[in-house]
Amino acid sequence: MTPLGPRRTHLSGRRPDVRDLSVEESVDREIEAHIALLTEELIAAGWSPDEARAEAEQRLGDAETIRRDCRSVVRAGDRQRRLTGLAMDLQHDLRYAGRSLRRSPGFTLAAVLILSLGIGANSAVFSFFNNLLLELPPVSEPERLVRLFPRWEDGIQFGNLSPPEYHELAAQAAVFSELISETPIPLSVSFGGRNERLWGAVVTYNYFSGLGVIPHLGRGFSAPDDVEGSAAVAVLSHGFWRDRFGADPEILGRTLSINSRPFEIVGIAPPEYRDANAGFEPVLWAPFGQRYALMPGNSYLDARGQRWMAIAIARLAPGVRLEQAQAACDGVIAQLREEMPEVYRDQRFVLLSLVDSTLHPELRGTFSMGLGILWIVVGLTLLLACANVAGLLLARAAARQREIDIRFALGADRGRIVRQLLTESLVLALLAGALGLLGAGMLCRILRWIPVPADLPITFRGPLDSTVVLFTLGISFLTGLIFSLTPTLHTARRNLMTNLTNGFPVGRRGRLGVRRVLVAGQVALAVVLLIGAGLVVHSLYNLRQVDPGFEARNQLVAAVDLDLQGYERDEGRVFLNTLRERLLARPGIEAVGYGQVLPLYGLGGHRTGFRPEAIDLPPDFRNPAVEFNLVDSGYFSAFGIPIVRGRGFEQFEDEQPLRRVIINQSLARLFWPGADPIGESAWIGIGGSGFEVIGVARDVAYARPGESARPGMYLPRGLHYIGEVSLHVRTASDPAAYLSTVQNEIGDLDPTLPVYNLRVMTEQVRQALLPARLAAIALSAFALLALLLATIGIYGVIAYWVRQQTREIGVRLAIGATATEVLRFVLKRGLVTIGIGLGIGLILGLLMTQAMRSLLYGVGAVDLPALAAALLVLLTAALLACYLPARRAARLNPVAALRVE
Amino acid sequence: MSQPSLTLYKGTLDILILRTVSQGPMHGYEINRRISEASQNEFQVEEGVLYPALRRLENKGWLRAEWRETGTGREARVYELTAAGQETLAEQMGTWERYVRAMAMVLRPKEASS
Repeated sequence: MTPLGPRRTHLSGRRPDVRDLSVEESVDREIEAHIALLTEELIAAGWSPDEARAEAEQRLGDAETIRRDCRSVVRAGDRQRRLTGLAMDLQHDLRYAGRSLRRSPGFTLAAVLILSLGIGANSAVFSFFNNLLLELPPVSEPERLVRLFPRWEDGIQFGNLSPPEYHELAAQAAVFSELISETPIPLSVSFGGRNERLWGAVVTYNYFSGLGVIPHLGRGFSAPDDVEGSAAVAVLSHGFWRDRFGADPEILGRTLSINSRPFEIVGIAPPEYRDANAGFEPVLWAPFGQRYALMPGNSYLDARGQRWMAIAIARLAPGVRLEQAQAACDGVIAQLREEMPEVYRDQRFVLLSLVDSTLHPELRGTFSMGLGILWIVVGLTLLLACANVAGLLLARAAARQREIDIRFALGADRGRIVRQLLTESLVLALLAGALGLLGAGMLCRILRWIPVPADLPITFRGPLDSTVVLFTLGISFLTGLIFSLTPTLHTARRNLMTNLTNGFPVGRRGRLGVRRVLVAGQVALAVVLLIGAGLVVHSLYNLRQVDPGFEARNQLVAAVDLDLQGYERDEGRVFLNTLRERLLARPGIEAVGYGQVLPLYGLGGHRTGFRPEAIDLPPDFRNPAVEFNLVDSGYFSAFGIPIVRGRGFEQFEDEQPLRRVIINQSLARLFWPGADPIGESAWIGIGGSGFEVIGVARDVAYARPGESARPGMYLPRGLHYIGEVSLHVRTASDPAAYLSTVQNEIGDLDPTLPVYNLRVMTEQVRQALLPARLAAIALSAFALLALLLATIGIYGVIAYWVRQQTREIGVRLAIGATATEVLRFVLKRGLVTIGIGLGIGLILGLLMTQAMRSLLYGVGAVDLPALAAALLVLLTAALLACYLPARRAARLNPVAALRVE
Repeated sequence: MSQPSLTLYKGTLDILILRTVSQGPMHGYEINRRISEASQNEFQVEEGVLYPALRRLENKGWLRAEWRETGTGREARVYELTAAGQETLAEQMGTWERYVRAMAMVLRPKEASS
């Protein structure tokens, strides 16, 4: 059958009985006829009419059953026919679509590519969204799990527990059938004589059993593992076992050196299990009983004030609701407050359903905000792609109008034609979806390699699992419907009689109207995306310009953890002193300093209380939590932080536990506005009273560039030794030349000590800007894509319009219009459409600025540079897109133009 | 009807109907009567089986139905064999004949071989 030929429809399915009898009527009459025929025969044989009738009915038997059986057979047949009909139609439509798309490979390729970019971007964003925010970990009955946090009024929202608090809460057996604690910790794991810093977790014994995770091999933990002095054991993640031990089935019972201590491997986690926390992928879990070995350098892990247990997950007892468990927690806090009012004055315990917070809620806010913005961007891109392809389809519909008109004329019904056009669009969309899925897979793999600029054990993983495939399928269908809706309805609504009679249609002005709306929409979307990109680029530019407060040039930074390496306090001191001497002995190294907190790594320092002793504070004054860093005498010169008042630390303060403190400008302003804090005395949370303020240091951006200044202070390393050390080296010239020097000197002293984050400081600053840079790259890429699509859209509609107006332009030229006037005539037409799109885009862009502001740096409510850049870029592209067809119109030969059609 | 009629095995009814209708268009009542006559009352098809079977064969496309006047001026649903029905009939008759021959060979080996 030719594609143009009319086809009998299968849609109705029911084959009407002759004279359109219903099923019931047809069956009833047939049975009635049977009785009548039999009656007639009996009468002929001599029966009386009444007796004959009665006899006939009796011989027939149960007429109702016969009727019912007949009806059900007929109905089953109808159903069958309808299904086969649909299947045949679908098959036919698909074949037709395939043939029609193959006939115009250029159009097909363009449409599939444009749509696949939009769909692929959406699938990629969804896969991250799904992995971090939607997907539940493979644990049993996750809906009965809740997160438990201490929360301080006006303070830390999602805090940690200390072991005594953990035990008090775990004792609430009436509401919690389990309380599981997990703390991510860096570990020094040795492989073949080399130590490597990897993230693991300290967990309470009920971690695997309480979550309902059954080990792939061996066992989980049991109650004796939490007891001090029990054998050191560990369960490895499946990925770690596979990558590092080649999935050795004989692994159980072997030992692994963790923090220079032997741990027996007793189990392997199941392959699908990473952790109960989204994004966290520890290489191993070890029980609470080993906490001192796993977190060396800490001697009071069991004190009430030692809040190190980072994650608490409770399993609600059967039948217990969250509110009941919350009430029990409130009871615990009430009792604690009675016993220790000072400690628990502002504290509460808060429960949160795990289903709502698989990602730690502290991260959730940031991630969902960022992903939300990203989703708006990819959503708009997809919408734009839809508008663009709809434009292509309309142009194509114009070219095929005659074919469709002929089919109408030959009796094809409207529904069939609409369904055929829809099938074609859906085939396009599904092809694009498949291609988009491939692209999304590649994008996710690339994104996984991007380092997280923070010392956080977060893994970005956007696996293309069945959920993502389903999502892609769904969004492809939706896309197909959206972009084909206007063109399909438009084609099908046409009156049959308009076109066949002459080649010059009446209805085209209307279609051009639709195409102009589509172009205006594309312009608006492109403007929004351009503005978004402009905002992010502007913010990145601002961040690059911002002064971090320290001298980043000619500086190296690195970190080591001597605690994990098993150094005792005195050994550690000797190591650090020797390293400093050896480095300072090298020519070109000007200063060496030690701190505790690695700068520009996404995290601030530890926090503690601070209170001036000579100032009377109101009784309800809340001590701010002040960030602190333990630093030595070389720190300020090596890091390049100016001391603006007083002095820095001297070498003797590195060794002696003297009560001295250097505060930053923000802290000085907070307590001594306009006054000189030097010589004042202060109480400090971790050290007690009598700390003398000896200097004021300049505010620096510590966690990330562009952060707002926070109160902070520096305490001397002599006060409190800690083996977690950041190393700062100031050099006379290009610091990159000294990277190997530092590595070698450390290696000479201890060849097995892992050195991490060894970088020149400017690189560290650059790394810290990575999220902003990625956002700028991603948004710019989408904006450029949008610009390209919108430009093509404008060009298409204007070129089409010029072709349509050839006769009119010819007339104008013939009666004396100049080329310039024709140019203006065409440009005016295009610019009106573009102007409307620009206006809508600007309004939406301003709304988007509001939504994005909290993620941007130094960007106002109306960001003129971004707006101006977006407008300029778009207008230039749009003018070019209009100019090319306009010039062609102006160069028309009037005689030839009039002869057209 | 001194002897009880034979039980119709599954699948035999279709071929009986098709064969009967192949003689010309006829309605259900007539089909029923002809089957009885042709088999000398060995086969008695009940109406409760016949009419649903006719509809089923119609669904399969082997029969085609039409309302026609009978000789006595009464309207009846008249069935006719379609081309597909003819094909099926030919096919099934061949199969049945082989079947009957084979049965006979097994049941009465001597007569069949002679």
